[in-house]
Amino acid sequence: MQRHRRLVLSGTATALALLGLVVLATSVAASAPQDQPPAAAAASLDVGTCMACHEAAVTGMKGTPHAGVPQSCASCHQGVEAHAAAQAEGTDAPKPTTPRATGAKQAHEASATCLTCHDSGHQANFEGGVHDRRGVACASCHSVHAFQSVKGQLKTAREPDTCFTCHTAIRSKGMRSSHHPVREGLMACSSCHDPHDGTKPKMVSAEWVNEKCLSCHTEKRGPFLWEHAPVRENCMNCHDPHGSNHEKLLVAKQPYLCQRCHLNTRHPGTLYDGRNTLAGTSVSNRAIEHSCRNCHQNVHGGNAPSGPYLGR
Amino acid sequence: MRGATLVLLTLALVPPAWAQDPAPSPSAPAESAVAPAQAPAEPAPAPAPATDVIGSWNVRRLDFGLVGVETDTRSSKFREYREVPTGPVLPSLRFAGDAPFPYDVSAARVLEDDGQYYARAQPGDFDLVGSYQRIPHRFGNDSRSLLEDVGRGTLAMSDTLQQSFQGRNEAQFALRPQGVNFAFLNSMVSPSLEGEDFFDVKLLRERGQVQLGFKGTGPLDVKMTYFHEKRRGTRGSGTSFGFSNVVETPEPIDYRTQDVGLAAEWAASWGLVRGGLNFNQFTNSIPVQTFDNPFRAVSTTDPSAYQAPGSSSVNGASFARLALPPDNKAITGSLGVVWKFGGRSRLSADATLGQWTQDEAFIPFTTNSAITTPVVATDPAALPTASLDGTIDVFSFSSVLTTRPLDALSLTARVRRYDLENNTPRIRFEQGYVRFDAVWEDIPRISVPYGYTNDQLQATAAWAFGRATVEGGYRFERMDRTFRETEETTQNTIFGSLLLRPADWATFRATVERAGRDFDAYHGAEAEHASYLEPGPATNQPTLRRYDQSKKDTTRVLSQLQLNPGGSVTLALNYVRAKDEYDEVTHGLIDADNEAFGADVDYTPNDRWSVFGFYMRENISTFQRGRQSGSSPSVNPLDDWTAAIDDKVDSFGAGGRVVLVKDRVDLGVNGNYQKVDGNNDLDSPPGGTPDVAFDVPLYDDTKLWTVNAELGWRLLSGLRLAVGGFLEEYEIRDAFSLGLPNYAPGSFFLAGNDGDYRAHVLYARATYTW
Repeated sequence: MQRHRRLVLSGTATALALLGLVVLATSVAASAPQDQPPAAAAASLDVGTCMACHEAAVTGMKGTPHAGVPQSCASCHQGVEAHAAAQAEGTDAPKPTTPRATGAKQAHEASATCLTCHDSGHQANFEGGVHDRRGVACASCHSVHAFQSVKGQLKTAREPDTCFTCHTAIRSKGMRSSHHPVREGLMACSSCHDPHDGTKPKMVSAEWVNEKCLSCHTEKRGPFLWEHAPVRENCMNCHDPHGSNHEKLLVAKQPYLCQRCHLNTRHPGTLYDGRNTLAGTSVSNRAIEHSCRNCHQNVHGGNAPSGPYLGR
Repeated sequence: MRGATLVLLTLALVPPAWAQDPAPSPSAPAESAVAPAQAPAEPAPAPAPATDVIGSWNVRRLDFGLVGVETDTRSSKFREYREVPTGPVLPSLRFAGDAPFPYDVSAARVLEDDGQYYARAQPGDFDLVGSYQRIPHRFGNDSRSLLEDVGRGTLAMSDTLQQSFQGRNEAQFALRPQGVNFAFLNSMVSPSLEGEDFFDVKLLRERGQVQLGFKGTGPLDVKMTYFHEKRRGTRGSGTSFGFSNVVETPEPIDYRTQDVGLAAEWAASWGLVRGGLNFNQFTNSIPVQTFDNPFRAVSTTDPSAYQAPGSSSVNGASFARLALPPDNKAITGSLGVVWKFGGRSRLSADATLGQWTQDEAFIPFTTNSAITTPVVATDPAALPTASLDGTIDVFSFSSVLTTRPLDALSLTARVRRYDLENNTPRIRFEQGYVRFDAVWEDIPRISVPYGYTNDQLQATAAWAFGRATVEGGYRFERMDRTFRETEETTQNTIFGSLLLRPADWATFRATVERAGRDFDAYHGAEAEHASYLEPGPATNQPTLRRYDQSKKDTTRVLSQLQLNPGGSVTLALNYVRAKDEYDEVTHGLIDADNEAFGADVDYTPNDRWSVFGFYMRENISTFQRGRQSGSSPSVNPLDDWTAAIDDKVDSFGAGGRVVLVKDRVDLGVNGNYQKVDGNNDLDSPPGGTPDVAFDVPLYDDTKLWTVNAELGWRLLSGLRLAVGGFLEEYEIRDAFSLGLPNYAPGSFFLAGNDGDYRAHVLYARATYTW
């Protein structure tokens, strides 16, 4: 009851705070300068004009929706008409803009061009997300003219290689003995993460990390007669989905992982050491091979009446 | 074998005669950075889509080839998630175009166990996507067991053998109980195990999905999806008859998951509204597994039967039953809105409501017909209820506000709630339950339907100073739990980040986080007592603090410097650290530190050649303390033991590509290597129990290296030939599984081969495009 009251109070406080922010933002932003979408297409400039010099850039769009954009290159690049005119006259003119975040150009400014059209679905949640805030713009990962991937118009042929440009430690984890089949090409980072959705912690494409895991491991959803509390709470209490050198993507090896929570009397709290290994003097079936799981096999939850210890 | 491979490779190099015109590739060459100084064409009077200028497109590509494989062992690890066949292969194909409407049909690893197939058609306002994917997972080859799968979920052994083992055990027990030991049992079972056939433990997922979308010129976007997945195979299962009789079995898997979804979105200039409905069903056609007890042909019981076979008992059940994952269902509805206002602000709010249910029939208390008091334990009617009737209600809400009231100022605020309310009834087992199908335990238990609520609040403010952006933020997280040691934990996090672009070719990012987690109170005994109807003294160490709830200070640092001077060289330096300190914990996890640093470099001077390389070092360490106890929790510090676990990981990779003859011949070489050196340094002070500890230096030490190379030759404009191959070597040294036999003290193991291998793969491939 007390918990419920606290939750209601916190929810109310949160809602009020949010409302306050909305009011503040509305009043301030209403008087603030507005972001402008890219200049409307120069009515007289055809894509064929640009193609005369930028053939590779134009033909690179073959087979993509961008090839069908009716307003020519000026839909995305500002200053196209002046550039073309200057080229025709043999004079200098600033190069048309590109949607890249470099120098003082912020990621949100760079992405604004793309978001003019791509502002639906989860991309509607890109603004303000951690990628946007940390300087990652659409063009950091995607290319309109020279993409390498079959899907998603990414700059690399394989999706994970785009992500590994920044997330190098995850690349290293993916090389571990126990891993999801990402390096085999059967899964990708976007199997679990939505890089466009800034509303979710860690950009996991689910409301809670367990719901993401359970979307493939549906047999572990339950509910079960005998639940294992940390499993129900968060799969990542015990697993590292990016890779591990311990079996089953475990963050540590059994029995030591289990003994971080179970130091009960008799065998759970017992020290298992070099003597209990297969080359040791006192081989123990509580330590070798799958260790605790040799008996407690339903560690994710069990449905047998005689399974309170998750062994049936 | 090698000779045959060479012949096949030679045959594969014969070019097909029907090679025709070059085909456009979806992967265009790199965008030219500088426009040539020539006059553009006269501007056209009216704009036209690029499609009108570059014309229609299509791709017709077919890869075919031959592969030869040699491996020095039968380790399942080589083909864990992939198929590497020997013989003719179809590595990929693609047919795509835009007439009469956009379509794309592609496949990879055609007809193999890891094949992927994809098709998409976009006629008019419709978008139809279908996919089919096979994902193998091989756990261990050449496994062995006395038990054989004789039906769906039934693993049985020869009755004669079972009777023989029982008889010899009983005779030895009658003669001298201490004689029922590992040496005796091993000599009894080993000859039979050695006579068993090998089998592979593996699983195959087959997933198919169809999605129909509708998006006209109007604001409505609708998608309907149907997903179907079959999982079939086996995996090792820790089935056990007690402390001295683990019988690992190949658990039969025959799962089916189906998912039906409908999602819609209405977009307008002010934002959008979205919603969806989703139904997911998991069915297991083998909900129960039975497995024979190698040492018992007739069920018996005694108070020590859960320790059989050994000096205290040779009794137990003749077979046992394991409840496999039960059928379950989930239904989820969602509704969300994004409101764009004031030009540079948007507010999103999304809510989902779901319900998960499970009502599979319970298996009886036991298979052991000798257990008849206090209930006839094999009778399902003896159960307090026939099934769980379990329900979990899930609610989530997320709202994010982002705004830029000034050019240089960005603000975000986020609130989230995830509530998992476990409304499953608590089942009371007033008279107890059966332990290991061996003995009735007169310990009344009650099930514990855990639930929790997670709340998160986050606010950030960022200010852009020209080429630098500085962000500060605060995050609050609260976890409310039921039936656990803590009712509530809270975590406060402050973080800051710096984004610096001192030049157009340089970017520096750094983020630092400091977080502190605290709890209201820690009731170690209450969580344990929750599952007992008549709780006695707690058995868990009272000083233990479970690491998912204990007080914790976290420091995280992420930084990266990316340099791209001159355009042809890219250099990135990375440093990542995450450190969790559980300073107030005496028993349990006390410290976890994960540090990684490395460098990536890429050099592409021109379109003729490029090279890259990377290196990363990870230092991963944890420290935990345990305490060994007898029948009651020890209070003696001399009974402590500690485990300082260190993993040192070195990873590097390098590769390059060179065009040997322009537009004709190219060579690509790649390689990567990873070595994990794990060590578990165990200690225990003298004078207690234990009074000494022996380290485990072979602690999942692994090495993996791969080198691959491919030489390509564009024979004709539509035909590319390639020969290549890779060499891969894997090694694992783990003291707990290295040299695992099929029978070890107290345990039968499948002991499949998932260990070392060295593999050589050679292939020849022709890519034909027209």
